[in-house]
Amino acid sequence: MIGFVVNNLIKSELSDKLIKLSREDNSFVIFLQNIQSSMNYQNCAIMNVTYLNGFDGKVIALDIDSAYLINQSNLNAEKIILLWNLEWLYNILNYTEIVHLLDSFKIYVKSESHKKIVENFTGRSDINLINDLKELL
Amino acid sequence: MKILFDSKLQELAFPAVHSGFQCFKHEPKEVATFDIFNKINPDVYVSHLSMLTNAVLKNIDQRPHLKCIFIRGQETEDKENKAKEQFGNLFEFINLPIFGDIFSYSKSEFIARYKSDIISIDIEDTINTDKVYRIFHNYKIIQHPNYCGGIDHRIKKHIIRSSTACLTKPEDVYNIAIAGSLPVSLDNLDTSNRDSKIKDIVDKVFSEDSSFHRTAEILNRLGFEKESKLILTKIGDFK
Repeated sequence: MIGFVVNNLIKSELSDKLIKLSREDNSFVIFLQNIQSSMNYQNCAIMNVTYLNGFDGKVIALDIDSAYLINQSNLNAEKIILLWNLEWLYNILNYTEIVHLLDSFKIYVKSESHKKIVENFTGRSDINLINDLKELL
Repeated sequence: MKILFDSKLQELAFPAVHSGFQCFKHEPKEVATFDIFNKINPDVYVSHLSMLTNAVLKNIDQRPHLKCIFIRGQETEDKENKAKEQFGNLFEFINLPIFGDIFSYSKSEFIARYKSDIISIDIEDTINTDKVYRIFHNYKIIQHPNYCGGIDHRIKKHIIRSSTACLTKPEDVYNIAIAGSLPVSLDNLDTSNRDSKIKDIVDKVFSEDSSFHRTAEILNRLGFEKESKLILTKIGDFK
């Protein structure tokens, strides 16, 4: 089973892509921290993050906050993070905390320039590049 | 002997604490000036001129036994004039040359996880390089793709140690070398002979330019020769 964990589905490029993906392939679950009215109808299961405990399969964080949540949850799942926005570039985050957090995750990014930035940030060489969210399924 | 240090001079307080003296911090944002002076009733007050207020002047005035020394900072001429107006030449005003804070920066550890070629901490200058370059700033977001956020002060010296070089301001050169990295500037990014350059700077700090030397000098100027010598003997604990 595959689960995406995200803060909310309010209008954004990422939300748009996720919802479009759900119309092509509705085999995954979206776990939301804030359940608000989504901008359009998604064609997959939507659950509150409180149901993350006990999830089995592959869980994909779409932001740093969601990654923290996944780490705190009791999961038997492969942990992946898609760094859609490089949040530390526009918020003052604690470097060592973020690096330790990302150590628990397989990291994916959406562009070559992002890959260079994340490699410099984490010191890791195993950063994966994807062109489409579908490649995560 | 009770020594009261202004909060801006904490690096000078550490050697005194390490040597066994009772030291206290004057930070009006935490405890009011009158309260700290009344509670502690210090024998010595080491003041940074930028923190001189009417409350401080009044407390000094009420304590004729109090030995004071004033450290000049940037743009503190007005406050110096005010203090001189009140006390004349009773107290000394000194400039404090750059020193290395060996208490806070020594005994750092290399952590492979944070290995990098060059870092900068809390400065706005940046460079363009293909090497592993991390920019840290706790108070401002630097508009550069290598900006990595802030770092906790407890781990700062280990991150410095884990980097080959550190882009720094002139006043932090000693601290970077003590932590085990090569201080570099925008004009000079040369990292050749790194180890010998670091050793030269560290040797200079330990021989005459450490926080221990400055604190000892301050106590010596106030007439506490024995205490000053005691502080200097404690430098060896950090070698």
